[in-house]
Amino acid sequence: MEWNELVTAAFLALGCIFSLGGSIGLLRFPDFYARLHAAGKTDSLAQALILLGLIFVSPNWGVSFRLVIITLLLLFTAPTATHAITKAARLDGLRHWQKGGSDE
Amino acid sequence: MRYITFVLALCGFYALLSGQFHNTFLMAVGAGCIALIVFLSARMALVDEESYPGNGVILRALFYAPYLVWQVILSNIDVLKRALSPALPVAPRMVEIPYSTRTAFGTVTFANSITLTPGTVTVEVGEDTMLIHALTAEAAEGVKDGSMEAQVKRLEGTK
Repeated sequence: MEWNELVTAAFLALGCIFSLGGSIGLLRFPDFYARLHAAGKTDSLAQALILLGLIFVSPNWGVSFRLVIITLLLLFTAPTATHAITKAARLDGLRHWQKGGSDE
Repeated sequence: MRYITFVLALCGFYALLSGQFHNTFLMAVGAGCIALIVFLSARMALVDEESYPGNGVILRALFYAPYLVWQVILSNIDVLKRALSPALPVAPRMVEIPYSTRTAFGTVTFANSITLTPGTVTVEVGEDTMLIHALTAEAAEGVKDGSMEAQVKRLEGTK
């Protein structure tokens, strides 16, 4: 393997680990809001790692540039989407889970 | 001034994405599209303080970005640790925190940055407070100490 393929493999593996961790968190966390922590955060880093990792095997600079643009776009939109979803839940009156019962 | 930057940004974006420098026709079409976009944006009054806060911000964003990336990495490791820990150490809570960013751009950056920092998600942005959902008590304290707000205000240029 060439050195750039090794770098890409490392980035992809890291991205997969974070993505998998996020999915496990999504299943294990107690309520809707907590689950969004897992989903919203790991998403942004995992996709950045995967897309940036692909830059090392891209055939020309045009493809690399596009990968960077997509990464930046997702880094801006991911937290905004997370916020939109939580706000919708909040407006709908969904209560958050607390240790030992809700006191809200 | 804003329009000059806007046109330059569109030109750069088109040139880099198409990469067809040798094709005169495609370059002419690009110029036509840019002219149309600028005309429509001007008519809709889209190029204002909110959509483009100034050149200084772009420069300062270069200093803010590494800080934010580091926060994102910390927050991911935090989620990973909690998700994989058998005891599932979370104690979620809602906290209200005051904020004092002055521009729309700064407020949005602050809200999104809170979402990206370890253990906190911005739920609601009010007039002068934000409602934060925190996974743990420490995460809530981390936002309250104001270090991130100071960073955002430096980015805004109000501090």
